[in-house]
Amino acid sequence: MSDKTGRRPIDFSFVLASSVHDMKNSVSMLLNSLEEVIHSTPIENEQQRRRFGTLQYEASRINTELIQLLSIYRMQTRRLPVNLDQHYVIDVLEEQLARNHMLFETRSVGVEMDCDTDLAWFFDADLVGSVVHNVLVNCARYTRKALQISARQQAGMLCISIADDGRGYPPAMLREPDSDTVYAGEEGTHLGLFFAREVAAMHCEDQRRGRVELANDSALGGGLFSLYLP
Amino acid sequence: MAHRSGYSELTALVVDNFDSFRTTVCKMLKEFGVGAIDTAGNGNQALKACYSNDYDLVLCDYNLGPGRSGQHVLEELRFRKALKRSSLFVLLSAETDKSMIMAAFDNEPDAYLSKPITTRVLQQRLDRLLQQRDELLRIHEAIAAGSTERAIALCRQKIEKPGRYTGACQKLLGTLYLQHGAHGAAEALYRQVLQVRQLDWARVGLARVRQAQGDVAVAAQWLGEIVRGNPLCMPAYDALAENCQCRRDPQQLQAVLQQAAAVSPRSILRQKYLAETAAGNNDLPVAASAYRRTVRLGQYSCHDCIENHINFGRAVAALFREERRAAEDLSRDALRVLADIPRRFEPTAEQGGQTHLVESQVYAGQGNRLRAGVSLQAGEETLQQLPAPLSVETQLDHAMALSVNGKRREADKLLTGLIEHHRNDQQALEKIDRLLEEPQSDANRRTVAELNRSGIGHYNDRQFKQAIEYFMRAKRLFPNHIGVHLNLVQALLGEMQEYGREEERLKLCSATIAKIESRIDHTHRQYGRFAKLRHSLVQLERE
Repeated sequence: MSDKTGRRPIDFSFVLASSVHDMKNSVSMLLNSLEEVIHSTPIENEQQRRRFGTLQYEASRINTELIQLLSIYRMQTRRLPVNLDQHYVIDVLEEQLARNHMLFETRSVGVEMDCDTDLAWFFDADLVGSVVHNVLVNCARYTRKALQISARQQAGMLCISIADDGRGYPPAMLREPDSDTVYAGEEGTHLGLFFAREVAAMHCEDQRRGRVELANDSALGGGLFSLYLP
Repeated sequence: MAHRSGYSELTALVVDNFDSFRTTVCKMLKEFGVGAIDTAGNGNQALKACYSNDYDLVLCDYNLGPGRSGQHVLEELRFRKALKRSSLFVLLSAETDKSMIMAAFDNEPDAYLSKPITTRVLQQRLDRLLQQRDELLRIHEAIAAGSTERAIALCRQKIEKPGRYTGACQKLLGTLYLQHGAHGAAEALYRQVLQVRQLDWARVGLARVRQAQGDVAVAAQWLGEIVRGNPLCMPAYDALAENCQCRRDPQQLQAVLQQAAAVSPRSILRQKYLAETAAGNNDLPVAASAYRRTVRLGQYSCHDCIENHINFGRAVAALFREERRAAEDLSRDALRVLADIPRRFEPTAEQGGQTHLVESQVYAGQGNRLRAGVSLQAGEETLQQLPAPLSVETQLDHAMALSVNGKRREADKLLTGLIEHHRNDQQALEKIDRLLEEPQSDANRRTVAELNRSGIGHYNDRQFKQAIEYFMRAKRLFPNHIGVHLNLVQALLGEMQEYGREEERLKLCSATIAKIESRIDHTHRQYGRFAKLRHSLVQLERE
């Protein structure tokens, strides 16, 4: 294919993906240095705590968003296959909590976990790990002071849910659980939700598919995110 | 934070080119109670440290600045068997480049952690890895001691009591069964796993069992399905490559390796395998670029060797005879690589001679007659000092260098002598065949005859497209075979006479005629046929 000038047209999504890849590496380095700065500069007052919190939160939000963009690009070009294996759910949850420990600490969010240590399931640990991570980073911003992450088996599916005590998900997000288009609203792109739904749907077994459910009736009084995997 | 005991008995090595990061990680490890910690600031230091110490734990960054990367360090440690199976190698990285991770995974790091890492993440991961190491230690010890039966018994014991390490033990057990030739047991194990879930590793395992049982076609089909479902499943490609070897299908083997190399472009061993296979198929553009990548990937790799460098030169030199333009693009790189050989390796006198002769061909391809002549002379001087007999490869290098330096008659004489000398050595004859008008080895004669027969069969049934495909394959394998070239022209003309002319076909036709013309004179027994076909082509072009 060529346009009027005879040159091949630019594949914009490819260009974008390459540059996102570079940006992501830079942000990773940034986060790394930030981690070191916080490590070597003990927090002295509330203002400093908040500043570190903001820096860290915003940087990891960019990082997360870029990773999601890349993953979605790979999904579309069929280069993100599901790598199913048996995993212990608690390993994945603990790893994500540990990864975001500093974020919760600087924002004074208390996290509670409820997961049977013997609960094992078949899923792609990297993909599910990044969905959980996204939700945690998001919750750290919208919750007041508590988060509850739990996993259990329910009607033959694994259910991982994350509850907060914030204001809950906006009505627009609750309304469109089946939409497969990225929704751009006042609150942002909801790319994370789109990504989570894609990852859920990529997990299928026989006739059953994974899904994501959002609600505002969590035990903590805020939003409730639930990922179901067959 | 509570953590498992036993850290105090561990020795660890932390590798990173950034001082601050080394300090941070060391501090973390000290917090866990690790007894002895060493550090290294680059790949060479890391290797040196590992050769003189048995570390329980190596934490190594991927990016170590100029020189070896973390992957090269791991690759070499595995290759030289300098890491105990009970040692843990954890690769850290700030980048998450897919091709980088895929290549690193070929060497099986025990874990891969993406930076930034926090104390908690590191500790959790190490706790789990150490736990697993302890649980599987006796099995790995049995494997290391070569007692497969004992390892099998231990795996089965663990699997009987389902738990955290059931999956890991099943994977190990399947491989052990296969190594041990216990195909029935392996099949039962994989089927049991697959009953619960369609996991790729078990599907590949089952296909391997089928392959080992001799059911190569079914195995190929299954492996193909796995790769289509999960294009990143490298073990499936490796099994498929083995499958093609079993079926003696070098064309298909090349296709599989090309696919695997596209998915994981930084794997030097697959790249080298591809280069060698493509060279064997005489697919020179693929061979030349795969050798180039092999040489590049080899810069800091323990899998680098002088043959890859000379072979890159050979592939480019040969490419000049088929696709000038592509060869020109690669030729500067090839000359640089060849010139670098004495500095990089310690070539034997014969390898030195080969290097000069290949260099001469590349210069000749570039049209630099002066340099080509100088290199040819240098090569010949080296060869003269060597005791006879020289290897077939060296003499072929010599013959080709003579030929492209305008010394056709000397080249022919050398080849005739070579054929005479190796009358009874089929393997040697197969190597010589590429340069000859008609192959001398039984195997290659058969191949040409078969391809020709199939092509002619299709031609007689007026299935021109298929006929052309067969003659093209024969032409690629035996680029100097006049009969094959004439057959190709005849099939192309036949197709166009039946279905009308087509630019691409016409171009191929006249290029083939031109190639024959440069190699044939009126004394040749096929000259009459050639003249007739050339006449038909001219008429078709006028239409």
